[in-house]
Amino acid sequence: MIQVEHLTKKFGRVVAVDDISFKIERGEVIGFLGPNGAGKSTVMNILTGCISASDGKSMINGIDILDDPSAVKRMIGYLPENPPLYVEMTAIEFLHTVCDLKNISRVKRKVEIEQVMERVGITHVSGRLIRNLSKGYRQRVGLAQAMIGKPPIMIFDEPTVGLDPGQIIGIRNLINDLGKDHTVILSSHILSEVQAMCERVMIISKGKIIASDTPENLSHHLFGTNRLFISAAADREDVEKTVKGIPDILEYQIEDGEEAGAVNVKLKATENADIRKAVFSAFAAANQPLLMMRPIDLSLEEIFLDLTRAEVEL
Amino acid sequence: MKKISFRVKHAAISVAISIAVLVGLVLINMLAGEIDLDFDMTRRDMYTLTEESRELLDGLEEEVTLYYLSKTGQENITVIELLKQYDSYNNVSLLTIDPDRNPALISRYTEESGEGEDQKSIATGSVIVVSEGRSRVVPNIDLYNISYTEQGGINVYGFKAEQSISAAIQYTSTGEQVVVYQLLGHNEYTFDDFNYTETLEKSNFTLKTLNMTTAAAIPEDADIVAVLSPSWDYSKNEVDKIQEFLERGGSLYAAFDLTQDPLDNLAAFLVSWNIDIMRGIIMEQDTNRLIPEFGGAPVVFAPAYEEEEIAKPLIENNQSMIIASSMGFVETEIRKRNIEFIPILSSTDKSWFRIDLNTSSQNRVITDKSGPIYASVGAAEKSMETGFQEGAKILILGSAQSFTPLSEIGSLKANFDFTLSALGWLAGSEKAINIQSRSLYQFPMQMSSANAYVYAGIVVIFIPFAIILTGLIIYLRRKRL
Amino acid sequence: MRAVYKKELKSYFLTPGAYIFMGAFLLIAGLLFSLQNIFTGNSDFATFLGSLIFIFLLVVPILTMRLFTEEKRQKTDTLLLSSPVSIVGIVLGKYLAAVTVFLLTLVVTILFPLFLSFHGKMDWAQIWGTYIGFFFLGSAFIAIGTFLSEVAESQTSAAILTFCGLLASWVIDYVRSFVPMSSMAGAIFILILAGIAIAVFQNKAQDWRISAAAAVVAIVVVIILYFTAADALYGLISKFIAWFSLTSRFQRFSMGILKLDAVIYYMSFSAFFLYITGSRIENRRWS
Repeated sequence: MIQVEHLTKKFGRVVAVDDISFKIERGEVIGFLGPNGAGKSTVMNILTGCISASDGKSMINGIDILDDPSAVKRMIGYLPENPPLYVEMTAIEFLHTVCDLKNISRVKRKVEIEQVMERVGITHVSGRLIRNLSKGYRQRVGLAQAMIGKPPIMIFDEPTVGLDPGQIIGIRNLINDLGKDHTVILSSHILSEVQAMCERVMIISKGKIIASDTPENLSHHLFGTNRLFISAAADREDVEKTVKGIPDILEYQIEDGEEAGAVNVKLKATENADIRKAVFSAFAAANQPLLMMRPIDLSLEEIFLDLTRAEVEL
Repeated sequence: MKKISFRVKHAAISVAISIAVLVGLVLINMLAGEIDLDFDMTRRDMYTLTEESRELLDGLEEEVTLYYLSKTGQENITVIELLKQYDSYNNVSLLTIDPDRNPALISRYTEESGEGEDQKSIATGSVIVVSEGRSRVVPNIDLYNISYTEQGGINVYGFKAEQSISAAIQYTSTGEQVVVYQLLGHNEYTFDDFNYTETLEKSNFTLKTLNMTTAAAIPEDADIVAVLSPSWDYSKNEVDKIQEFLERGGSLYAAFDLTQDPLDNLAAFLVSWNIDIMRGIIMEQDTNRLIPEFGGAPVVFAPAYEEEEIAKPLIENNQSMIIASSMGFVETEIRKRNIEFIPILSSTDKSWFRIDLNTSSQNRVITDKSGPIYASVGAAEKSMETGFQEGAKILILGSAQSFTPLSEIGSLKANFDFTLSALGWLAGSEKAINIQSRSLYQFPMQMSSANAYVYAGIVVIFIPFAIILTGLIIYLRRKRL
Repeated sequence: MRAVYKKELKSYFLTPGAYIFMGAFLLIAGLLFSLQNIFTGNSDFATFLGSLIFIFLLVVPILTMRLFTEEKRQKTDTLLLSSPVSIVGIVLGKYLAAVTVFLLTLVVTILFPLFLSFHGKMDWAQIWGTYIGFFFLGSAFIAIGTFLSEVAESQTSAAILTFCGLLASWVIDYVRSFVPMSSMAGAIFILILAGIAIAVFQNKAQDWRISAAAAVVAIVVVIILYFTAADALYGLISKFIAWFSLTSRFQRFSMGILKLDAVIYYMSFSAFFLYITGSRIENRRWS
């Protein structure tokens, strides 16, 4: 459905997007994750034809955006980071204008607008000036704008930024709903959001994709069972001794625990090693009761930080 | 290499398009400049040459150059536009010349124009018409009809550049002029007495004088003879000379004043041209026709124009002639069928004709004849087959003194224009270029001040504020949405 | 294009924009008309329209200042750029909407000569001719405004830029009569133009050898021209400036000559400015 090859974008001497290639299949919900300025928005702008790439190819359904920009643009609904709203219009006037821009025929228009407004829940504010709407409603009008004409691909740049939790849940549900019959790309620097909505995550940093997988795979594949968090009832020195005796341990970190007389330990072993049994045996042998042991299941945030740190070290 | 090709392609295409757009626009403009398709939207076709000029230019055999004296960028567009019309003819070329840069050229024609020592330079804005061997300077003031107000101010009321330039072209290309013999010997006026000489000469009239008492015949080169207010009658012999001249196809311009002695021979001669002179004075009573400056005296009035061709320049410019103490004319009872009687100027039906000159009453008396009375008439021979005018023409005025300059206001512009037009009519278009000046006069408006205030109120207050108010209402109503 | 045109017209009439423009235009025009025609009893409407062209200086900035700046400020340009509307369509739609508002205003002013016609004969043909010229001149000014609104970052700066731009195209005619006319001045002028072209080239290509060669060629050509065809150089600056003079071309319309080449000039002038507006947007996408 979406195919991007060697996409590069330079703003003057600054490389915003650096030789990115990826493919997105029909019906996927993809999350672009990365800090501000990583190039997420730039990629989206290129996909939607707002800006042109310096190099590389961007194809939607096999059509290069440079060859037939109108055909490509017709297939995409786009909500940029700042929802593009004509604030001097009412919501419904605005959606009519969007219908004009997207060439929606007069006959279908009324039903189309009603459906979309119903779906994003702005029917009751349709007659109000966008200027006078709250941030949450504006965001929803922006979403409605992208959904007009039922484009097979929808691209949302930071759809939940600046919204309160209730509104975020609403929009999440909507996107989950859209994901059922559309290809959706969204970007965020909030991980829980991506985790909650996306089937696949692409982590973008400094203009490059540094990881691309399902959220679960990302953590499991990369960080399986070689990291443990334990809490033991013993002295710091004793624990340290015990830990040092366990094979395959690469790193450890010992802190005082919350409970009196207990310490917390974070362990990192060599890759693919399952050290759980060894740890248990070692502590048992040292007569240091383990109060708790669990694998460290990294959140995307940590993966993200980890990956980007690795990037820096490279 | 392949993967960057689209960018190169894009850059190349956009550069190519940019160049194509610029070149295209320049080409279109150059093409439009070549075609030079103009539509003259003016009421009087200000910038379109008349049929008469077109015929002259079509028949032009010699090369004629028009030099327009002006600094670059300061051309008078009205003049330039008209000159361009001339320029579009094959044998005419137009050059705009900066007088400061071409003093040699200017001085060459200054001398030829024979303006004398005191006028060495030619004013900027003038046109010099040059052809093989002849040239004529058309000074800038001759491109316009100008009248002087009593305060000495200038009032430009018409644009006569076509007349001046076409006349100059005709003169320089053919050397032909209309020769007018002013007949003398009976204490006549000459055009000099009217201050008309200079301007008539610029319109291709050559003015000569001929003493009838000594002349054997009217000379061969004469086109028109002018008889301007003889104090006593012509002899039979002298009248015969005029008659003989008319039979050769010449034309007669005559203006009489009421004389002590009747001009019997001349009157009899005119009868043979279907014209009867009535001795007496036209007294006008229509207040619209009387002249306040003359105290509304009934003997001084603005005549109505009966003949369109001659009066056209006056009608166009809304000019009124002024006629004083005019005799009247009627068509004879017995008429020659090959002569057409042409009324030219008349009084209104409120006027009357004072026959008994011993009566000094300002009111109508029993002996008076009721108007309208013709103050000027013409006669033209016409072809019996076609009915068109052909051959001799006569134009008679009942008051020559009306043409003499007045002490305060000088020559009456309208009266001169009439004379010029009348002489042109007599000479015929082949001989005399007689092109109307284009009036710069605007149609007058009769608007009461109440109306004016209503309109001003509508355009200044009502319309703008209605719009602003609409905008304000829409803005305020929507603001709360 | 139609969508942008419709949207722009909506914006004009849903916000005070169009009303301020029309109100200001008609107020100034009405005042001048009262003074020049009504109270003096003058039926010469073409001359009135001719003297009215200064109005563009004041009102065109009002009309065009928000065309692109507002999109940039509200970041709505992404909506247009990601819609299936070409850049040509965007520029043309906006321009035509502004021209439509202007045309509507002009239609209202037809009342003026109509009033006069109740009280005297009017030169209608001349009036229509002048209207045509007035319309195309105004459209050309609007094209300049459209372009400058693309260049500017805010409405205020767009308005000021447009005012200055129009003022420049205005004073050009006055400047024309003061520029030096001599052949020497013409020669120096060509050299300056060549210098600018070479500097631009040098900046892009960074090849000083070609630039130097071009400079030498230019100097030699100018010297040859100066000594062989001094007449061609005479008044060159003035002729060059005349190429950019919008108002001088209008005089003929108010004199009653409908000149097709002037109409075409105005249209190509507009087309040129719209074209560079479009290419600026396009270039921004690429840079």
